Amino acid sequence: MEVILLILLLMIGGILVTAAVHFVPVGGAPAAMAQTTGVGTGTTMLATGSGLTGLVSAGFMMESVGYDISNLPLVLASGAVGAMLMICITMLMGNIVYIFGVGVVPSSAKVKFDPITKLRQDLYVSKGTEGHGIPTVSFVSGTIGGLLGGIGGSLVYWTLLEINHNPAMSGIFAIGFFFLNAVIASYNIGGTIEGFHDPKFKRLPKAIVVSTVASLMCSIVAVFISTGGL
Amino acid sequence: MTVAAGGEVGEFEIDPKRIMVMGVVGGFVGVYLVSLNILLNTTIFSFFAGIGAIMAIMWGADQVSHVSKYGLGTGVPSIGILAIGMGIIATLFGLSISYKLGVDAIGPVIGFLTSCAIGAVIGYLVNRFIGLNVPILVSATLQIAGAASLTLIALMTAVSGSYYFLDMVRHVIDPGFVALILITSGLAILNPFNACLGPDERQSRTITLAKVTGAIAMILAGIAAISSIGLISGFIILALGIALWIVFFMKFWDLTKRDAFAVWCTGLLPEEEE
Repeated sequence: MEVILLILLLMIGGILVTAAVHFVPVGGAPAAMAQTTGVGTGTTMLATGSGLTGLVSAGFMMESVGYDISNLPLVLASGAVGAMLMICITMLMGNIVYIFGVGVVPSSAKVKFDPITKLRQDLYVSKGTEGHGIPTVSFVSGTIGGLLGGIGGSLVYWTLLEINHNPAMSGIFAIGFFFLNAVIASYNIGGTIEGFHDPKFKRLPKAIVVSTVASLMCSIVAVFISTGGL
Repeated sequence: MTVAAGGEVGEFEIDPKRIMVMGVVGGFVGVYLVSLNILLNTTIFSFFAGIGAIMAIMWGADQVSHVSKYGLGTGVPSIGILAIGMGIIATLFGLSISYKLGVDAIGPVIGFLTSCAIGAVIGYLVNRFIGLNVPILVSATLQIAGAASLTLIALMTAVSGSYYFLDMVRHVIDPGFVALILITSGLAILNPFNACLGPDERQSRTITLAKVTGAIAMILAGIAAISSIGLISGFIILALGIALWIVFFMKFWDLTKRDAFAVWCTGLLPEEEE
């Protein structure tokens, strides 16, 4: 019974990571040249950067409060805050470079009006580009991505620690788990996405299906990884 | 399917099956020759695993180049990252379960087979549900996951001087060297094609670059091994890694000049449109 619960928790963690990546404004190589909206690097790099920061902050919290089940919400919150901080700082620094370095206005090419600020977007998109910078809606979306990714990553880490009681082994397994789910999401969005207002976001259910099966497989495997007996 | 990343699909200088056999046999022979350490109660034979890792990296990099030519839409690094993600999960499982069953010797084989299975399932799911439509994706993810698992096992064996789970936990996982090995393996597998891609990409040059990155992975494993299994054993891995790196890099430099010649001779663009 307990084993099934652990597998279930790991699966939820994996699915959260896959969902999180769909929220993060990933611009890829075109964004590095300010030719599309989002941060100018790949999905896996962004997801890994924020996910690993989440793991570190969750691990730090676990170190100070102990990994009792009653402390789980605290650990998850700590992981979420870590990941959100990392992705927000990345987006903020990206925007500073785009605005003051490249000299472009953060604007989305996928919507005419920003769903949050209601500001006009299409007038500010430079000709020949797919938008540039990180507009408000993408920033908010990215923060939600950090929240989900942080919770997912720290949930995986906490569950693994519950299984094998070895922080180093849990950490490296959680990183592998994170990579796998981030790449599945990355294939689903095909390289770039602006956030939850992007039409590509509707593809999310497909990635959830793949992530569920993949996470289930890896979770079953994970239960056997420990230095104890069978 | 998006725009191809470069090179022709389906043309090989070296048969990929031959590279696969070399990778699997070379990788396992390298790992299992480290048994000499246990037989002779020493650690100086750990360098065999480093050589095995180079063979496995060659195989992985070759498969990355074949699948990436179809255009994944997310860049080459994603498949390398996916590979080590699957590889580390399967490797830890294989080593751990064989330890629990009391037959540590079959750990690398179980890890390798599990990795291949996870790779095949994920390749199938991605093709079927996400619709990447790359015909060789299942066989490629299967082989890349296998190569990644073998690379990780070989490098971990080189650093810990044994393929026993408890030795690896003590020498590789607990001190954190596993993070170094994880990212080095990933980069060694994904970088060759990522660096060589383009219309003039040729398999022989990509494979040679894979040997170069493999040698770099061996150098890093050697540095880690100095602190984990001792100065002399670690130094052998380090020195051999540096020697192989110099040899392979000279070869890569020659091949780069060979392939660059054709580009150099294309002539200038006409000054005015005619």
